[in-house]
Amino acid sequence: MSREYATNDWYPVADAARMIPGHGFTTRLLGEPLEVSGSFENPVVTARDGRMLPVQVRYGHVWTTTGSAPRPLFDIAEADETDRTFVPCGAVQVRCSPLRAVENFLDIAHFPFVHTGILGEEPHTQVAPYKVEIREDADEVWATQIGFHQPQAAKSATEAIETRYEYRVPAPTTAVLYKTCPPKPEAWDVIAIFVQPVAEDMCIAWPWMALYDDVSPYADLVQFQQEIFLQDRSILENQKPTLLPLDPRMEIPTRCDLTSVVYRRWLKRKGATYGALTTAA
Amino acid sequence: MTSVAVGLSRDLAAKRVMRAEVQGYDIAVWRDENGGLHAWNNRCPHRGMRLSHGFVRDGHLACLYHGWHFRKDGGCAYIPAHPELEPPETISATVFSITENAGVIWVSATDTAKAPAEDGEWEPLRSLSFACPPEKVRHAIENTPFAGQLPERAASGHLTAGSTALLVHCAPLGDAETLAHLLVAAGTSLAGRKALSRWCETARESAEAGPA
Amino acid sequence: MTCGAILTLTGQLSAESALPWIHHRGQLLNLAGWVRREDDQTIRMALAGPEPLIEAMEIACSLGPGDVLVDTITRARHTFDEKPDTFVML
Repeated sequence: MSREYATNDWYPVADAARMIPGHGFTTRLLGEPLEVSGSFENPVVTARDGRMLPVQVRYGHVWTTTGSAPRPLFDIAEADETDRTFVPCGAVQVRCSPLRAVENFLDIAHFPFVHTGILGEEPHTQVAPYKVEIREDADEVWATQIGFHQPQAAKSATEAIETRYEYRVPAPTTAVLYKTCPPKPEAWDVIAIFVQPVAEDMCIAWPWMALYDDVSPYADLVQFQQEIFLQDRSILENQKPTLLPLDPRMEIPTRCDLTSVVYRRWLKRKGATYGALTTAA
Repeated sequence: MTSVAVGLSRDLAAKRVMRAEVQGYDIAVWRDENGGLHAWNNRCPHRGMRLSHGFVRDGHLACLYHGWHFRKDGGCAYIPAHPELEPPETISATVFSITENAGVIWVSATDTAKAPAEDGEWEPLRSLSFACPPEKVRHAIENTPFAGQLPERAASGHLTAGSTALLVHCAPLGDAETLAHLLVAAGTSLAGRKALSRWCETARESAEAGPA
Repeated sequence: MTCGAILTLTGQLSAESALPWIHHRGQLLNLAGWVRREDDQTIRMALAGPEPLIEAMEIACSLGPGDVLVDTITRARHTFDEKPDTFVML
C-alpha cells in the first residue's frame, strides 16, 4: 500500500445539507481522525494536529484533502443542470477496501443475483460485450456500450427495460454511472458513488444522484438507492482478501469483468495503491 | 486427530450452506438435495466471494455474487454471464474432506476427515459459542456442578452427571473463541435436556469469567 | 489444423515472474499452445481453446503479476498445423 498518491485526492466527509452549526463530529480519513464542523455555507475540517484542511462543497457533500499538492476535484457537468433533482443518499459504512466499493459499483454481472428483481433477474444473466478504455487525456477509466435487462432500472421505471449504461472513474475512490433515464429516454440519469477511505479496510460510501424524476418522493429515491447499497454491502464485507488485489492470480476474471480489470490496471499504473494488495494474494 | 466438529447434523438441512473454521481455514459447508455433505475453501475462485453466502440449486453450490455454479466435486459447472461456455475442469472450488457420524459433522483441512467412534446412542442438544479457547471450555464444564455434583469423565470421553450423560465436541474459532457442540444420551427427557442446557450456560459464564 | 489466436504483450515485462504467471493462467483456463519471451518488453503466446477462455486469458494478462506493467495487448488469428494439447513455455 501507499498513502502517497491517496493524500492528494479530495474526499467527501459529510453530507453538506446535514451540517448543523454547533454540532461538529469526528470522522476518519486515510486512517487519521478529522473534526468536521461549521455550517453548509462555511464548513470547517480540522486535522488531529489542529491544522485546518482545505474544504469545498460540491455535489451535495463537504470535500477535503490532506495532501500538500492536491489534484483538482473532478467535474461532473450534470451537477450544473438545474432541471435535475439532486439526491444525496446518506452514508453507508462498509468494512472493505474503498477500492473494492468502487469496483463493485462498476460491476453489472452481479445484478441478477445481488439486486434480484430490481437491477437484474434470471434468466437475463448474459453480459454482452462492452468497451472499456483508459482515456489518457482526462486520466479516467470509461466503460461504454453496456446494455442490460433490468426489471426496475430506477424508482421511476414502471416496467422492465433494456437499460444502457456508461461508467466513468474520474478518481480512484469515485465512480459515476450514466444510465438510461426511464421518463426521459434522450437523457442520462447520473448516479455516483463518492467513497471516503476511512482506512485501507474500511470506507464510507456516499451515493449521490442527479436525476430527471419529478414524480417520486425524495424519501423514496433515497430508500431505493440505500436498499441497493445495503445489498452490495453483504457482498463487499465477504470478499477475500479484504484489500483489492492488483495481481489477479487468485481470481478468474472473464470478459464481463473487463471494467474491474481495467480499473485495477489503471490503479496499478498510477501507483494508487491505498486499499490495494500489491503482492500476490 | 485433525478433524474438527463443525456442527450438528440436525442444524444443516438439505440445500443449506454454513460457514465453519477448521485448522485456521475459512470453510463453506453445504448439504445437497440428497443429504450429501460438502466442505470447500470458503472463497469463490472467480472474485473471492465467500461461498458460505451462496445458494444450492440443481445439485450445485452457486456463488451469491455472480452466480457461478460448482458441482459436488468442486468443478465449475456454469458461468451465468457466459451461458454458452462449458467451463473447463481446471476451474474449481477447493474441496476438503467431510464426514458425519452420530449427529455431528466433521471436517479436516489437511487429510481425510474422521469422526470418533461413540459409545452409546446420542441426540443433539445444541451448539454454543464461548468467548474463550477450548481448554477453558473443557475446564469449566468439568468444574461446574450439575445437580449438586461435579460431572465425571467416562473412559470413552463423555461426561456423566447423576443419571444424565453429555458429549461435548469443541471446535476452536481463532485463538479466543470456541464453538462447542453438545449431545445428550438418547432418551433424555425434555426436563433433563433443559436442565443440561442451562447448566452449559452456567459453565459458559464461568469459562468466560476466568483469567485470560 | 486448429484455429486460435496469437497474443502479443508489450510493456515492462522483464520480471522473471511474467512467463510462469502466464503459464499458470493458461493451465488454469485449460488453454493449449505456447508462450515465449521475445525480449524484455515483449511476450508472445499462441492459444487454442474456446473463445471466452482466450478472452479471459487476454484480460488476466492485461493486469498480470504484480511486478509487470502491460502497456498493450494485440491479438491476431493463428492456425496451428497440429492441434496442441498442452500449454508450454518455450
